[in-house]
Amino acid sequence: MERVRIGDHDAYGVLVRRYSSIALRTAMALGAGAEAEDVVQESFVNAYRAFGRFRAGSEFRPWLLTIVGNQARNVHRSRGRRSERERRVLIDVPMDEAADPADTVVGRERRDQLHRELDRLAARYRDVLVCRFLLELTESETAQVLGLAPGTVKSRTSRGLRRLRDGLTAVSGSGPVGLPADEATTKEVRRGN
Amino acid sequence: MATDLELENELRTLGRTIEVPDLELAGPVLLALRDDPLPGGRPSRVADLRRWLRARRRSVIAVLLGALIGVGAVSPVGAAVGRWFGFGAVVISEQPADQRPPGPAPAAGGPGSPATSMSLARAAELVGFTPLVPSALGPPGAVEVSADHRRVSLVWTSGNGTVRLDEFDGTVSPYYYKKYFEDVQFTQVGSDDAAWLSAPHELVYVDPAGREHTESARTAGPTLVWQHRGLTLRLEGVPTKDGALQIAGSIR
Repeated sequence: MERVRIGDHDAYGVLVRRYSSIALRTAMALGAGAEAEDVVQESFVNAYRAFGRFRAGSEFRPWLLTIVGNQARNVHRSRGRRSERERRVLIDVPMDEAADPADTVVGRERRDQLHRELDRLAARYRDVLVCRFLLELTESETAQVLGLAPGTVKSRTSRGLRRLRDGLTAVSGSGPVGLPADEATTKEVRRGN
Repeated sequence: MATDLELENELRTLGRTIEVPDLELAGPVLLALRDDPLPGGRPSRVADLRRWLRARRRSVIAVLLGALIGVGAVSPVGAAVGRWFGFGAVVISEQPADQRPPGPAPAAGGPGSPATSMSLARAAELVGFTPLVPSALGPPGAVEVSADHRRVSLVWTSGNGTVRLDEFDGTVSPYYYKKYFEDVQFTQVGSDDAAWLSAPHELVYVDPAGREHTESARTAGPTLVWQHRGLTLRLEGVPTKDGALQIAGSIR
């Protein structure tokens, strides 16, 4: 970090390589869509230029991801609905079954279901769940990246999980017996979103 | 019904199945920062970068989609691509089947390339570098320079078909990036990294001024791409990898 501060470009290159992957995942997950690479490159450039504001001794990763998050949301906002569609494509992409070790843990069907239900969540819950679990950011990193208070992240996480679970239960039919009533309940919950 | 903890774990697992392309971003980022000696020192030139990136938009999208569709979490291609890192100013991309040039043999000439043959010395004057000639093939039957004076092509025609060697000046390669490629086999020509491609591809190289140029495939056959003495070379028309490596290795 100190080498970056005194203008060592090679040292910054090391940082860029180290954090490219998580930065790209963050940009994609937050709606940058096909522009994720651009978003991440601009973020790295902006981060370097703003390095004077980066406090010595603090973590580079959340600081960078905050910039990525802002940049991604700018792109997202400027494109409106279109990015919503692209975002879905990016997350919903079919994975190569044979090469995917995750298949042994979560079956494909279940993953599809999770995708669908995540997509149906309101953005304020989905973004928090995506950051906390899909991107595996900490609570405070999530707060920083999404520009929320830590308490808000906490409450949206638990509410988001509850809504996600309700959605999954309704779809899989593994909930309580008495399906018609169950469906009605689900609609109630949705309306409450 | 899943507990919160179980659901959290499922989401984490889900997150790990989302792959992002393994892009080399340090090059372009440092390129954009090359006039910024000290961090935080000067007003942003983001507009320049935007313009520069916009020119690459199509390839960026192709990279993202290609990678997301084609790559599994432990793809062996992913491992191979790691070695691609630092290879040079080369991008190899799959060419959609309908764009593949017809015919099994490389044609002399082609778009952007006047079919007039010239001496090696004249070609060197036009492109600004001395073309490398593999001694295994002897003097070329034809020497061509592309209309934009960026590529020199040496062509040998015999009873066995046509062999073609394209050479580009790729000395300065400010950034690398790569696409996942099903048919790539990494190999070496002497101590130079090389790629053996069993299917048609297009080649993107970066000239010394940092501009990107795309060269489409000339043949439907396999190709060897490597870098030597600051040039990017592409050999087409040799059916076997060993044969191609032997020819490539005869360049001094």
